[in-house]
Amino acid sequence: MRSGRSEVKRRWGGASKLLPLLLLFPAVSFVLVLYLYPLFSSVIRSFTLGAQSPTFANYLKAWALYKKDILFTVEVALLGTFLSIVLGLALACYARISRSRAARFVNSLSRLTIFLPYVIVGQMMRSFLAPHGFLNVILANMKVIDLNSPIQFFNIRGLLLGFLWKEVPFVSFIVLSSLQVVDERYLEAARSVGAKTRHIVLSILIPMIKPAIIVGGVLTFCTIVSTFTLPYMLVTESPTMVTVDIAHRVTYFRDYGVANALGVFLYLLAAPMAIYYLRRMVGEEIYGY
Amino acid sequence: MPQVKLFDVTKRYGKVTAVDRLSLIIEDQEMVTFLGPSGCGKTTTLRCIAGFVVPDAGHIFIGDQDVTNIPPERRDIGFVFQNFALWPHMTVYQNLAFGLRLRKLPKREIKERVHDALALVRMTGLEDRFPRQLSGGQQQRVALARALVLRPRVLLLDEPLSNLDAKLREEMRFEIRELQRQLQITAVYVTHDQAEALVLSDRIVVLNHGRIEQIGTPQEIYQRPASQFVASFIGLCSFMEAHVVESSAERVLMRTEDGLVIETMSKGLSLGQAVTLALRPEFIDVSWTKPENSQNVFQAQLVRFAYLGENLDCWLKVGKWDVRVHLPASRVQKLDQQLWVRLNPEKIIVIPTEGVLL
Repeated sequence: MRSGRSEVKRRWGGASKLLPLLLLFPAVSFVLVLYLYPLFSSVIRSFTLGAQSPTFANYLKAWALYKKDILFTVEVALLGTFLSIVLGLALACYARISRSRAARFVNSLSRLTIFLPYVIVGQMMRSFLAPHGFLNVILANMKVIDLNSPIQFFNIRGLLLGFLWKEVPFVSFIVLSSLQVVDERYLEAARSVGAKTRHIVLSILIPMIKPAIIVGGVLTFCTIVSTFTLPYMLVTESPTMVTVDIAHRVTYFRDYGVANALGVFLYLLAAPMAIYYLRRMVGEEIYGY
Repeated sequence: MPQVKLFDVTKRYGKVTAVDRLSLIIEDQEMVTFLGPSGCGKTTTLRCIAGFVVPDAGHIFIGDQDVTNIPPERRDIGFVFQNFALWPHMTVYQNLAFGLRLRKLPKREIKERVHDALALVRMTGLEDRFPRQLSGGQQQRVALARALVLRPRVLLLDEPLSNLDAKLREEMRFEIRELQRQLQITAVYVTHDQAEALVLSDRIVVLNHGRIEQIGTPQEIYQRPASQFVASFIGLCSFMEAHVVESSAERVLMRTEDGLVIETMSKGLSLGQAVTLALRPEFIDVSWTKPENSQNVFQAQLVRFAYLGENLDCWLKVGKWDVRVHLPASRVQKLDQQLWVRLNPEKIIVIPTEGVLL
């Protein structure tokens, strides 16, 4: 009997060691082929210029041509992320604390924007923010502006409005999911010691859902940095965002070297966020700190 | 410390009336316990006092102030929650200091008061720990300290011991009672644990279906329950339905429907009146041979028992009635054993029921 068991163990022992690797193979190969290979390929090509290799020529050229756009991208990403977090958090806290029908309605309505593609948002924003578009007409009717010299929105203003229109509900969605699971007793305990709503939000709710805020911020930052459609449709003057420059270099000049250098810059911009997110979130979720 | 007064407080959730025209005065420095089964309205009433729930009708006063529509943050109460509700991102010190900081007290005073409150609950030295680094008992003490550090007008406790193990629960009962006496604070305590209520309270308010069944000291509630519900909820009790067949200055005789004639000492009952006789196990004498004095003595049969350690919890059949008694484990030999029970006339609780049998 004993020898029979050991025989089975011997025969199946090798298979049981191989099985996890076999199960992992599709996912790992997917990541290797579709993510890591293009990443390394573009990084290598960014250091290649004809026969010269390796070289910083692409980076020097990218910096010389697109310095303003690079700084503009950083500015839009930081400002857009910050405003998305502040407004998304405010919307989520309102929905969590108020629990009124109005709050629920506003919250549900805002969710619709999450499911709209950026190209639709861009088109809507173009009509809404045009020199004689809806917003300028309303402001003119309110005598805030003269329609003969309307506010120009096809620059950082319009771009930020477009990003906020899409990203605020997204941040609110992520944050509210966490807020919903905060036990009501924590809030009541705060109220019992004299906390008003603003104290509850700032001292209890926000610290308790900090991981969700970080997730929302990281994802929003990465989305803004990598979105092409919105800056392409909404920014008609210089500077614009790096993604538009990449498309421009490839479409009109077939200059993959500079395009890849700009791409590496975007990776570098998003990488610290991703690393921070992975280190902190994975640690907290698995080990509870 | 002030009185807490409730006048006709009513709270409905849809068609369910959680609290039904409840009126009560809790005296200064008194510890009152709301006791009752789940859904009886005890926690809702407590939350009305705290301000977490606004009653649909009625008024609540703390001292002379009508607080019915005042939000909890302006009521000056201390609240201890069932799950402690310590903020997990704050240390013990920060948990206690939070309310003091909101009151904009000087840093030195905050430090002193936090230190004093922690000393009161014997938690000095654990200021820098986070709640997750504390045991259940320690968290409970911190929750208590957090409620007390503000020196509230009223202390409200919502089943604060129910998440602790039995041994710790027993210890903490005495500690909470001692603290309440020491601080001379008006306190309202909610529990469904009768032992907790008996140990902790100056008075117990027994609630059922949102209404007060009885208010009284622990002794009154235990010895003279006003209804079968109260008798069954507090302590162990067996019941017999009977009616009065003789009522004189010397004695009152009751007859059960299966013909047992039982003498009691209750007064003010009329002939034919229907009553419920409530029998506490400790007031039933059990013997293995027929006693010489046959007053209130009945034959019984052991039908079931459960092991409690030193004693057995025994179910006896007396006539058609189930009567529970506690007997020494060494004396019980087998099921269906024939025994004799004597019901002490002075200790039989007689609860008049509606209707008169003529």
